[in-house]
Amino acid sequence: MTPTVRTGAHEMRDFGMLYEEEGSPLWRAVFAFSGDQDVANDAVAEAFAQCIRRGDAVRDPRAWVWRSAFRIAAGELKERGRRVAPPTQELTYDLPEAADQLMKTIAQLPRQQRAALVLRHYAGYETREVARIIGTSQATVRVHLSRGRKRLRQLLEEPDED
Amino acid sequence: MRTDLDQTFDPLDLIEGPDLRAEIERRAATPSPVMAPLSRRRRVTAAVVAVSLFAAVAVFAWAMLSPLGTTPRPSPATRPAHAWQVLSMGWTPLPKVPAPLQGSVRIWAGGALIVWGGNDGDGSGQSALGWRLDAANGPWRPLAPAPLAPRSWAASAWTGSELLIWGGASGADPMSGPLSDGAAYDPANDTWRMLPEAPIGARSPLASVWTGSQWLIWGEGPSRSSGGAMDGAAFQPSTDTWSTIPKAPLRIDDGHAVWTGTEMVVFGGEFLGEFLGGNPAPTAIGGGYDPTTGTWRQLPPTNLNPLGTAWDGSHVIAADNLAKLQSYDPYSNVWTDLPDPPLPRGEGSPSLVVAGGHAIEELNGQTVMLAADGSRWIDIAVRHQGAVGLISAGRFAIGFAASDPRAWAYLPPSSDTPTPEPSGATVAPKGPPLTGTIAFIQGHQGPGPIALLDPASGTSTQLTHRFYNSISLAWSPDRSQIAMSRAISEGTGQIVVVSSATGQILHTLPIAPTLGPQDVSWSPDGHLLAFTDSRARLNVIGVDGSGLRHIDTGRWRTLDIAWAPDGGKIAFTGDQGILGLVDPETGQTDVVVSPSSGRVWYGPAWSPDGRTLAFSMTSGTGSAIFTIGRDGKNLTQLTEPSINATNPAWSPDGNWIAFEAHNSKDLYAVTPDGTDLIRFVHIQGSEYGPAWG
Repeated sequence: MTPTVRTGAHEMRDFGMLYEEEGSPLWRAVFAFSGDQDVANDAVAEAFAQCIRRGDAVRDPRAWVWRSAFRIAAGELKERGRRVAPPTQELTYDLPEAADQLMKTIAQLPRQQRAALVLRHYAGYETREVARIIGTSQATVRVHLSRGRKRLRQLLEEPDED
Repeated sequence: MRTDLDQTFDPLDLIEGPDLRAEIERRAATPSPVMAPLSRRRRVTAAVVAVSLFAAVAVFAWAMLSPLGTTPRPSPATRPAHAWQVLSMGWTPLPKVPAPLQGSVRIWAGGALIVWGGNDGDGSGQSALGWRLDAANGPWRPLAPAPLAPRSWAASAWTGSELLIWGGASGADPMSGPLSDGAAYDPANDTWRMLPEAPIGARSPLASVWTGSQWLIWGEGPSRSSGGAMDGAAFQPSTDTWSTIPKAPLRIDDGHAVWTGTEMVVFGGEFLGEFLGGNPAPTAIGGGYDPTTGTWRQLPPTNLNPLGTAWDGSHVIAADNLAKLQSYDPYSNVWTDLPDPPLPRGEGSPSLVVAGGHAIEELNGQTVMLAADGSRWIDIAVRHQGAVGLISAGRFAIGFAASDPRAWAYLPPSSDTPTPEPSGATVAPKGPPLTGTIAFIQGHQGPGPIALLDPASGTSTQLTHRFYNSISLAWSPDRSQIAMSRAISEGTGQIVVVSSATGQILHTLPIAPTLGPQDVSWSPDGHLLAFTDSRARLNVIGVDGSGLRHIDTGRWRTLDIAWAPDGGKIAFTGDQGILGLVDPETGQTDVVVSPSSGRVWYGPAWSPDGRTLAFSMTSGTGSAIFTIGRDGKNLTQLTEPSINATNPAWSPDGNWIAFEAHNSKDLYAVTPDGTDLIRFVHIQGSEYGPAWG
């Protein structure tokens, strides 16, 4: 038996709505995490495609695409990191100035801190959900957040929120 | 409630992301074992996601409803032909397994590692999902959905073109809810097919072997009440049919099987001897089944309880749960004792494979390899504790950690390469001796308790047993105490001082939790502690809790600090690339490295002679460890950014610099000239924040 993707109009509409609701914020979050639009394109497209192919096997498609996109992006970054290691990543995307400045700033944070901060402060996930998405414990996320906030505030030269 | 940092990320909403729906549709219709990155030529250009909701849904639904499967599937030849050839001798970490591991099918399928099914280890999370790893450096890719119910402990075999799966348990326990169906997975086309109904009843677990033309599944166990089943079945993929196997002349609990080229040899834990009164004398029995003649023979008994078996090309090697091994020659029908391996004697479940011509055994987290001449076992995993659950991938072995999703590949030395000399409990690293003790933060179940690593042996012990959400560690100069900053909740924290001998908390410094202490450093005279706080200010307090004072560093804000060995200055890293020295008495600062766009320095660490600073530099692609003279000269890069190294800690003798690696979540050490690099791999998840005392 060869499984096929779901082809009912109702299910397709569900995925269309899922993309409509999650596609852009997910792409921006992965882009902010990776700093690379190719990685973001790949990761988001692949996550949605796999979610569609898995059909009913995915109980929570929203959580699934976020988790999968971040893990695919992390894997891609790791692979690229082995191939090339330029000292400073240059963004090749034309961005509004404020976004460009933010992207360049968070690009200076370690990868896991970037992921935790983006998911917590941009996507609005609670610590528990951040941990599930990036595949680590809540406590680890808290430390990434603590370290990341400290360094990000320094980079932004902003007063502390606490 | 939104915070100022939430608002910081608001500009992201100004970015117009691409419309990926066409690409998603293409990929959904064309399952690809390896995701090809979008080329820059094909790169989806930024487009405003401004299509109306109705139109978007309609377009997307239409796209999804278009005929699927018409796009040619990628040929297996498009996969990297030598994706696993990059392995170097020894251990290589693999990307974390994105699936539950307990009871999962783990199999080497020609050029890919496949993991399927399993459970989360606590009786929940039973899975029917599968993942494949086509290259040692990843990434893991999901398999197409299987037409099977979730299960664990299923029998499996690789035929050369298909992965066969049958039986297993619907519960987390190997004997709970046995199943009686199976399926075959074709990795070249990412498709599944159901196997026909087998002529035997549901069971789990069971022994199985692939003979080269048929799959033999047999027995059942462990079942003390029934003593295990005596029947089995054979599946021929060429005809897609099953046939029965004649009943064996013996029952075997928890049978383990190997294929010798002519026979399926099964052993199990049938205890014929006395097993009471603390004087175990197990006697295992085994059988050999010849599928050509359809006949069984009984093997001579042995005083070993084989729980792991492997075929080395001429002998069956069997390991018991007490670190005893024997080999069985099916032609002379004789058992022979093998040398005792340097493994712990405690009860455990051994894992035994033959890879690269070597027998490799794991028991209780330790791994050994039989020398090519069979004369001795070589400890190969002192620095890689946790490589458990071994499978063979032909020329190399793959080990899976027991309690986390890590995995490693181990490539044994080739036959023309001298085997490493046994060195007791250690494998001697290159470079100068490793002395002292590295305290680090354990991240297995959250950061973290403090653990101590003996870098010479690679072994670690847990010092504290409560979870402290630790941030930074610092040894007292006399090495009797460790100061630790920890988070209490978001934005608050404290500093505690623990005994380095017992882990007992000696006292908590009387500072306001809202200060949120971050990095800590002990003064060389042992009387003071410096720490940065959540507002990036530098503070000093007496170890006895007296005299808390803030040090005004002017326009420089302090992130990470290190008190100089001569006690005169505190090195700090701060705003956008500053590396400076501050006088803790006057607050006067000297800039060692001026801010530089795009470069941020973290975690300074002094060499014991006070002449050199080590620290990490972060860019968009990763962090690397550097050293620089106190005078700002002789900047030297020690590690590649791909390791993503941070938090250096100099050894007391000045010979090594330990650091944490974000990519592997392990500790490393590098010599100050960068010529030698070693890695400490542990089973307990992440390790970071090293402090060398």
